Amino acid sequence: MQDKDKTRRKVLIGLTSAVGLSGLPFAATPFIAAWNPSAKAKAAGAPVKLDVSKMQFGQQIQVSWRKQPVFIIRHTKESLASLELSLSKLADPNSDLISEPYKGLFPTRSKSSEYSVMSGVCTHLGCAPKYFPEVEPKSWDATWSGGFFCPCHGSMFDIVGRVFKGVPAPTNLIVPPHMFDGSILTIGEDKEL
Amino acid sequence: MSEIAGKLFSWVNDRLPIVNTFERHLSKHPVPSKVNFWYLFGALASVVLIIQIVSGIWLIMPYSNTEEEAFSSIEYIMRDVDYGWVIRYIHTTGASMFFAVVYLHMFRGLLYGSYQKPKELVWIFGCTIYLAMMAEGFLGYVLPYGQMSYWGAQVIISLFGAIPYIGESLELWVRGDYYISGITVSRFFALHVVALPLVLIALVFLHLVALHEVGAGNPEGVDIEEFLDDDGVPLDSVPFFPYKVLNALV
Ligand code: HEM
Ligand code: FES
Repeated sequence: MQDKDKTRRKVLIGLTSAVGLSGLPFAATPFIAAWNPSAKAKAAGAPVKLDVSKMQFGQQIQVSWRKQPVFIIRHTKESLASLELSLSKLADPNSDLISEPYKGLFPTRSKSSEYSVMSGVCTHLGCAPKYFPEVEPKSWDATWSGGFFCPCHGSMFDIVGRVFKGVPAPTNLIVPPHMFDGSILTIGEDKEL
Repeated sequence: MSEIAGKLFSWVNDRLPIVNTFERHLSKHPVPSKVNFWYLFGALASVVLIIQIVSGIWLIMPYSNTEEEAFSSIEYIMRDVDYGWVIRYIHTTGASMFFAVVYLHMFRGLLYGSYQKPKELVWIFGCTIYLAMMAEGFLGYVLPYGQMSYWGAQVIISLFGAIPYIGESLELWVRGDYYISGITVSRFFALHVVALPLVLIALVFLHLVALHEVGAGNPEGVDIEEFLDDDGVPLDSVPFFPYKVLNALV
């Protein structure tokens, strides 16, 4: 074969490969996209709505959103005032280490001055922390001023879900997107976010 | 009758190098006759791989990969399928044995420097096999969809979440749902029983071809290629099959 033909052949091979390769993303698209949450999964993961006006002061309830527990607490004035008591124990009082949706809005960390809304999944390994609102000495903390205690490995959080120093959980409990329409709370969606 | 069979065989063999391949890689592949017991674990690992494939295929039959049925189908295998518990324990214990055997196999590699020139590629394929095995083991562990599976998957999938910026959406993409659901289980099932076994078999094939191209090492440091018999086969060697395979089976 002549040298000229050889170069030509190389150019042609190069061109065909380039065209072929440029098709790769198109060919790969359906295979990658098929792993996204399906329409059915999205519908099942839709936001949940509930009326929180019937909750008693100091009461904590749990709703399920995307098969995960979400804690809602209606705080008393006293418990919000006692947030100060555990301030020095907190690892990240201003939630600087996580992306906090309603940072600095209210001490509750939510979009309401009265209710807290947070994921009930321990940020250590995913157990469910338990609600102990009383201000009294506990076996895990002699100066307990109310909050959450995780029975799995002893992580502690204050009453609005902020993590203590020196516990296994690395961050505060996560606040999911939510919005209030009067007393109707929607979890999983926030039109203003 | 046997004449016809013989003719049929040579017809096929003329068109497909069966005997050649078998001889080159198994029955006539020269292996140093004095390699010690550390050299068994490669062959043993191949045996365990076959055991995993066979027991795995038998587990697929009664197993169900849906959110509602995954766990109960495992109970069904353990209680109601004749010898189902044996097959399941072969598969689960086999998975652990696979790792035990492969660790010893790798330890041999470190002891004797088997990763050195000219066997770098053999070692690299080996490391890739090890990675694929870990993935395979993890995916299988999720299939029963019990507490251990769920939380195991939770921890491992959340590793993806640690990647900056894209982590969270990557997690969602891997799960295909907002939690570890039937959707996740059924995709892990597809990967565990089809995709990764194919990858593993291909890698084992490459591992062996690469090894047979450059030859196994031997701790005595004797170069077997120095003394060849009339056919060019090293004198101080025995065929890989049956000697080494039988050795391994015992
Ligand atoms: C590298 C080889 C393999 C390893 C290390 C492996 C590992 C595992 C593990 C750890 C489990 C979880 C068992 C349990 O906790 O009950 C499992 C389950 C399973 N594997 Fe595999 N596996 C391998 C190959 C295969 C192959 C080739 C198939 C099918 C062709 C298969 C089919 C299954 C099925 C159907 C289950 C679910 C049933 C059960 O959990 O007992 N596996 N595997
Ligand atoms: S999971 Fe809560 S402390 Fe470990």
